[in-house]
Amino acid sequence: MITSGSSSIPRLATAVFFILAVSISGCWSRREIEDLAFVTMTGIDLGESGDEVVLTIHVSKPAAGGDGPLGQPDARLVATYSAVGATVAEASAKVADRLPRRITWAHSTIVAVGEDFARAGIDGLMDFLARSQSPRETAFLVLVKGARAADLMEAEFPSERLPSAAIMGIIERATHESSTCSLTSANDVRRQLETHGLDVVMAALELRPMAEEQSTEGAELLRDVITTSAEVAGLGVFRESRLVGWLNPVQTRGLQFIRGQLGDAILQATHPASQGGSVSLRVTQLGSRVKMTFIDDIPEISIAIEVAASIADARDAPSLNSPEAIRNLQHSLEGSIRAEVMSTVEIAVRELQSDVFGLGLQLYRSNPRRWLQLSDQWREILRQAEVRVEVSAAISYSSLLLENK
Amino acid sequence: MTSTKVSGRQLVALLVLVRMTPQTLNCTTLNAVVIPQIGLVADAIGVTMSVPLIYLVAKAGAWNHGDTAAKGMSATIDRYLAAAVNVLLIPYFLTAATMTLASVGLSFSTAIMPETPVIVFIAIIAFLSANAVRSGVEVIGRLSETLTPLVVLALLLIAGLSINRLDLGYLRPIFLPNGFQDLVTPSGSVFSFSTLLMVVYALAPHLDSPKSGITCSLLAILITGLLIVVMCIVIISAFGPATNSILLHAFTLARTASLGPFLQRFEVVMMAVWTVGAATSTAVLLWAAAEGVKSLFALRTSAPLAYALGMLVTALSVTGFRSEVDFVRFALGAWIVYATATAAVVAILSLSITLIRGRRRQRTL
Repeated sequence: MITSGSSSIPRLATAVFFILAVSISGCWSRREIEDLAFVTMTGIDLGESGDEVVLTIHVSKPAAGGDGPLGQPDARLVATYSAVGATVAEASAKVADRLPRRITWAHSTIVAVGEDFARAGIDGLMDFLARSQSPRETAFLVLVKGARAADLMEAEFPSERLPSAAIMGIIERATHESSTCSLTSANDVRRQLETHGLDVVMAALELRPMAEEQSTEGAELLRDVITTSAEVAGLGVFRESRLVGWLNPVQTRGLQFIRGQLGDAILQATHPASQGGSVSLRVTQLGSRVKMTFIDDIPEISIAIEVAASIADARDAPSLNSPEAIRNLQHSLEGSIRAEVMSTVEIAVRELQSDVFGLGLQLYRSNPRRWLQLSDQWREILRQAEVRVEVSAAISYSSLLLENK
Repeated sequence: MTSTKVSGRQLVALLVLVRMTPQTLNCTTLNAVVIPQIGLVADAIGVTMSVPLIYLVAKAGAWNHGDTAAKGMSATIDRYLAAAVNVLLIPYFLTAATMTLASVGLSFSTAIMPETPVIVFIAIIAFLSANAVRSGVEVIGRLSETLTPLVVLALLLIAGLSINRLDLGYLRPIFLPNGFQDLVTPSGSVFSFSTLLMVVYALAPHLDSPKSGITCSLLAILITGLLIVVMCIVIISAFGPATNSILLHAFTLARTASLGPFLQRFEVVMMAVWTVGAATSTAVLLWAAAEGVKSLFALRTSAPLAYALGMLVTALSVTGFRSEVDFVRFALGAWIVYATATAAVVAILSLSITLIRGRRRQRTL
């Protein structure tokens, strides 16, 4: 506020302010909502030459979403566009050439990555996501096992019209309710890529055929015949920025046991008093501790897991009320968890030579100078590690049923 | 209320805003660290180093209380010393204002509105600041008193909303791969921005209580130190080893912040913080430079200098830095040397002024 004097400066200043406000108030960067194309899902694949990037995007079609007279209940809620470029940005520019509206990435909650692209390395994609203003750091990255991201983007989901929302829902449910997957945001992946002694894991989906018949004419626009859907396939395992293999859903749960990050989970145990009988147990609490000691530069890894579980259901099950029956069930559960964990260790550490457990990170944090000495040969050192798994299970209660008669 | 003096609370608010503004824009310290965790040690060292400097400067400034520096300089030696402090601080404040404007302009342009020329943001903020300077320091003080709590609240809000994405494990290990030399540039960076609090030298004569300048300056260092450490912890925990490759840390943090799945895009909050912080901070620095010129040349008022200095720093901001990379390079190179050298000389001069005037006062008593 100008308070001083009767000079002409305040009036001049006010005039200048209004001229500036009208003429230079950011009109260069204006975004009108009717000019925007909202990308809801992004797919990245490797081009046929192996050097190029294929970018596929879902652009929202708001007009198709209404349930009223103007709505089209069978119409796809998204339009699919695709383009090839040397980099993600170039492919993006080429897609933009085909769109009547300006691309905005902020609503792209899912970035699907085809297996071929991931095996070639995700550096370029992460660079694009980090540099660009519009994509969100919170977007989730999803691998497509055994297929291209573009194939996943053709998939439909019977109970959810928006594919990105369906995929997000599937991964979230699998992460929290069965622990067979894990949500990995762009920021998580970037952070892990730059972390010493920790390799990236990323949620994986695989395509699931839904019907024998092929899509009919117009299926590109309508979803009356759903031929392909998708389901959780565990996690993709990386070595540095390249995909090197997979953990299936059970091995993924094994990884969550080791990390102590299990959500809800149902495990099977053999019924102690019935041949072929099976008992489902719900894990209610989990504690996990990983210790690493070195003997002549060869690590000895000790994984101690403590779980508390309750009985979810029992098939062909006589009484589980006796302390002995519960004890036997606990032993069975311990064996089952140990097998899952060992399977995860075998595939990740020995076969894929990937430190998805962050054992190198643990060493780096406790003894950074030793880590610097060992980091170059860390994968080989880890492969030779002796791993011991100790599981202690406690079945605390039998849920709402005292006895199965 | 039309008090012509700045209260202690307003002084703390002003100093906090001046120091925190660079932190909310481009926290270059975190670009200088070999491993991000070192940033915490650098913060502690840089902030601690600034305590004696600001104490001396505030004390030297307090001698001018109740009088303009020109009138107060009736004695011989300290008159020249105080003039020398002004000679050093005028270009220093103008450089700091230039950096603030350039940083906010480049931040807006890089992060949000790439099509809009940088000069648009710089010119508007410089204009607002120059207007505030013309209105006097008490107006800037009142502005800060209102805005600083909001800025602090906004920063804490963003930190709080990022809590689900934090991994405190990334705060370990704190070690120096190449020895203590790893700490030199980051600590120097923190210290160089802490020297902005030397603005208290110009503010001290305008305080309603002469002694409060020292206490309030130390309180401001404490508050900003805590805020800087909290922000540093949150940023390192959120981005891990990627921290030192990111530009605009607080803004990037705001991009990851969310309240459930329904309330996102908190970068808008950061835009507000940038605008408010940069405008007020530039106003204080321009005002301090104008006051320095007034003292040096025994002018009656500094108000007419506001627009001229505003135009000068606008021109320097636009032409001096072509990109964020230029800015980071300058902030981690020449600026550290310049700010540290200026601070060192000002500290010595301030100590001399304090001793000379202290002795004279004892003799008078």
